[in-house]
Amino acid sequence: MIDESILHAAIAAARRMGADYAEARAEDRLTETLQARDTAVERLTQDRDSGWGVRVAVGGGWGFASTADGSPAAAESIAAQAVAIARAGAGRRHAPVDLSAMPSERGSYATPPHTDPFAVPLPERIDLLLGALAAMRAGHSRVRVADGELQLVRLAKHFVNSSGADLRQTIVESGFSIGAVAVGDDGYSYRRSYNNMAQAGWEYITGLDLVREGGRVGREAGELVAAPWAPAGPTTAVVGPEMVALLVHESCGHPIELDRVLGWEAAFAGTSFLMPEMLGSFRYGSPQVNITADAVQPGGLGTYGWDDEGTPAQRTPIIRAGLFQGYLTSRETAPAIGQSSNGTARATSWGRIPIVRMTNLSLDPTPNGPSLAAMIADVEHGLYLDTPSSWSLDDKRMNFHFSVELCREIRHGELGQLYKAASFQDRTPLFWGRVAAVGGPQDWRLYGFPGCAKGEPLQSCHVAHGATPILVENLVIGQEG
Amino acid sequence: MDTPVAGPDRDLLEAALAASPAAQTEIALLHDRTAVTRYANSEIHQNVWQENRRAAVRVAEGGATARVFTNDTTHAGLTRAAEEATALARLQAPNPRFHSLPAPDSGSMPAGDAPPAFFAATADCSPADRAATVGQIIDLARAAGYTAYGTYRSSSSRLSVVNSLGIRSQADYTTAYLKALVESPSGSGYADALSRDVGALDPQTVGAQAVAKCHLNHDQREIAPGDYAAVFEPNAVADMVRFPVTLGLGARAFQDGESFMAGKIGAAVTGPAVTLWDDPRDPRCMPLGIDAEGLPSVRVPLITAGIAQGVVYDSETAGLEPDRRSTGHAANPFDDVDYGTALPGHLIMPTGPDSVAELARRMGRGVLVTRFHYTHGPDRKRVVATGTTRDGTFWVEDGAIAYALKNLRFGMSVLDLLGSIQAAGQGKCCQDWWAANGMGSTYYHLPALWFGRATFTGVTTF
Repeated sequence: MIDESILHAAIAAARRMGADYAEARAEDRLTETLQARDTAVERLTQDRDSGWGVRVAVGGGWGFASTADGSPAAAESIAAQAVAIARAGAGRRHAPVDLSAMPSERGSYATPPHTDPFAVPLPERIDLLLGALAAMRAGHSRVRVADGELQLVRLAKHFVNSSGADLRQTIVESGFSIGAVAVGDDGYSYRRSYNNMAQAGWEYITGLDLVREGGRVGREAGELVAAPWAPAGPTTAVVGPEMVALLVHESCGHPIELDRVLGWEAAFAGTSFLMPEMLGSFRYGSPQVNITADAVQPGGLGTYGWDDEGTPAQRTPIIRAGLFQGYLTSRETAPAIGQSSNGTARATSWGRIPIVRMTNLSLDPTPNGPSLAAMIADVEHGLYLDTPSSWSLDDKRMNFHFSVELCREIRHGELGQLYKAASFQDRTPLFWGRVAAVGGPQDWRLYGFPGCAKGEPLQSCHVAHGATPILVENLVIGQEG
Repeated sequence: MDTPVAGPDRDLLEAALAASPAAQTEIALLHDRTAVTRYANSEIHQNVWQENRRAAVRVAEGGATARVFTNDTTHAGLTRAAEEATALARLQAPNPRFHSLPAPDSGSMPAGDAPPAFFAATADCSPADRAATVGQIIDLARAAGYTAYGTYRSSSSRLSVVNSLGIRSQADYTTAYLKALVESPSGSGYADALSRDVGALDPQTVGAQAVAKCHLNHDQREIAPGDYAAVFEPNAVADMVRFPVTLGLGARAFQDGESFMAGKIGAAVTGPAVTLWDDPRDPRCMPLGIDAEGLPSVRVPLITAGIAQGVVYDSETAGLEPDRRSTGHAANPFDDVDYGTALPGHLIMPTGPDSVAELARRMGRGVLVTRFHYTHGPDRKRVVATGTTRDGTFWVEDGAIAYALKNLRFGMSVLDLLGSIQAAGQGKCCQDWWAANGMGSTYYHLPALWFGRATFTGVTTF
């Protein structure tokens, strides 16, 4: 970790150079990624990334500069660079940046006690992954390629500012992905996969029984590649929690980011159909739909003590009984709707500024709601859909198209014929408005998404979504993907 | 220009190589400075700069490999990285797909020197320069009564690659990218420009194009989903060509059987009007003469007149085929999103003389698409793509824009789309939506294309 004296020196230098406010953040990230294919390790990488940056407000504008150089001389030069950037941009602002509510908290956060995944001997990790790959290959004779990955992250952060804040956080994450590509007699190939990631230690990985799951993934890949195309047309659909998690991410998580609403991502990620005048009154979904952003949810990739502006992590209602109730906000964006930050400004590295990001945004389970099995049993004729394979949304997050890896017919309350390449397109509030049932807590799972992209330069953020199965009426399935 | 390793890094890298305990060692060192000025609502709202030196130390030991990244690029840091990578490699069983790190003769012979990729004006672009450029676009939009959004990015990089088999390569390159999204209360317009040379970016042109497009984009009407003739501007073409690039034109997907090219070399894979090649040495397409393994990047014919010709290779995938050499397309391990395998990085299609307006005139009746947003591929093998249009979709009637359309969702096989090419227009250097925003690394020089049949499967609300 960069010595904290560098951070304080940079803040002092920026203040001397005219900064009205300065904050500095150092990060030290260790990532180990183990990638295997068929019977052997294909790539093993260890990434140590350490550096720091300073963000300053000068003359009404923001400037940010960052470096991996931890020398005392860098404190001066990086502060000077940030100040020059802020001054250059200040002339192109409508109003000075608002410095009225800068944080001054002091404290620390760490991932709760866990089995240190980095302490697990590498051969043990390799054996676990290769065991899952062997199970995929054994799962079906049509499996041509089996691949997988284990990823471990340890991140230490230190944030200080000119208002007296001093925050230290240490976060550990463990994740995996496995996938099987099966090739049919006609040369057509099809991929089936399984993945998840959590803020947790090695106990999370060993608790997943990846060998058993590998066997399932391989078997399903082999069956899916030879299965008929999913039937097109309207149907009653039970959507499994892996797919629901992505639906929450794409069709709810992004349009509730207030920076998108304000146009700050218009030229890249897009904007939103959820405008401020809709708060509290817009019917986003059916009365069964409740969605909550929860940055204190244990185990989530969006769990922390403070965001990267120094605002405490918190829990925010987003959708209540189908009505739109809240945005994800930051220190800079919240005043635009007359609110204070709800602590979702996150930066993905020492070289990036914090921007509004999802935390753990989850579809709340219905108390005493049906299990997945009970939901399926209640459908006379329909389809069961799970695991996303493709997703595409317009720049306001209104029109979407999703494809799933797995589709099964439901007939007389039982799962039947397997289909490949089911897809559906819809409009966000229409889709969520046709949700007739949301499952109970027994099948609720938290899914880690380590690749949520936004911001320029790109910030690929770790977020999570809790999800339970849903029953959707009149979902129109597309023709052949 | 790709050159032997020079400067103070040469001694640093030679000493680290010499100190490595591994049987084979490769060190790639990337030193870059990146500045990004973002503007929204006609003001600069985010303004950042980063300098970083990162090393990727890859070792081979007993048939296994490991790579350690570090941004401690001192001698001690590189030596520690090599030792750690060696320890990690020694804990593995041999990987049957790996044969060796590349030697200087593992690559293909380029036809000539790489054109200049480094421009001092780009490297020296200051915060004030960026603010002034952005200011020109904001002022153009404001004069039209519109609001401006966008990004101005400038970066300079030095990539040095050495390995214990004798590779010593270095390339300096710069990148300048300017985009403008101009919005009125009833619609938006878009334009961008991309070059190694910041002097080639004209904010007046970019701003005026975005304003002109915005001016046309109002009172959008809805058309029914279905098949239409269409003209796609080069940015939109890039978001289509991205699918064959990422799903089928790299050696790994080809060897795995996932590529539409698998088993089809010498056979037709799309229509006869389709010719694609990759040329990292074409000055029109963000040239860069070496890849991340330090091998020369060379021109590779991919599809000629609809017939599959070949795919691009790195040293590992080349080693899996007899008498195959790397084409110098190893993935850059420093990319934000690492595809992990060789992919085309400088894809080119032949252009024609017609402007977009002339293509529309020749088409007579159909859809004109400025660009796409967030495309995705629901069927890899058949190269099916879907995505929505944005920032200017128009209905063409009697050879001219008749009115603006609500955004459309596209959905069909890109191979079928390309198979319906009627004519190619003027070209430009650009990236697809993903790569332009850091989630890919392919550059394109592509024409506007007039298609006989583009399938739109849905309509959005704006």
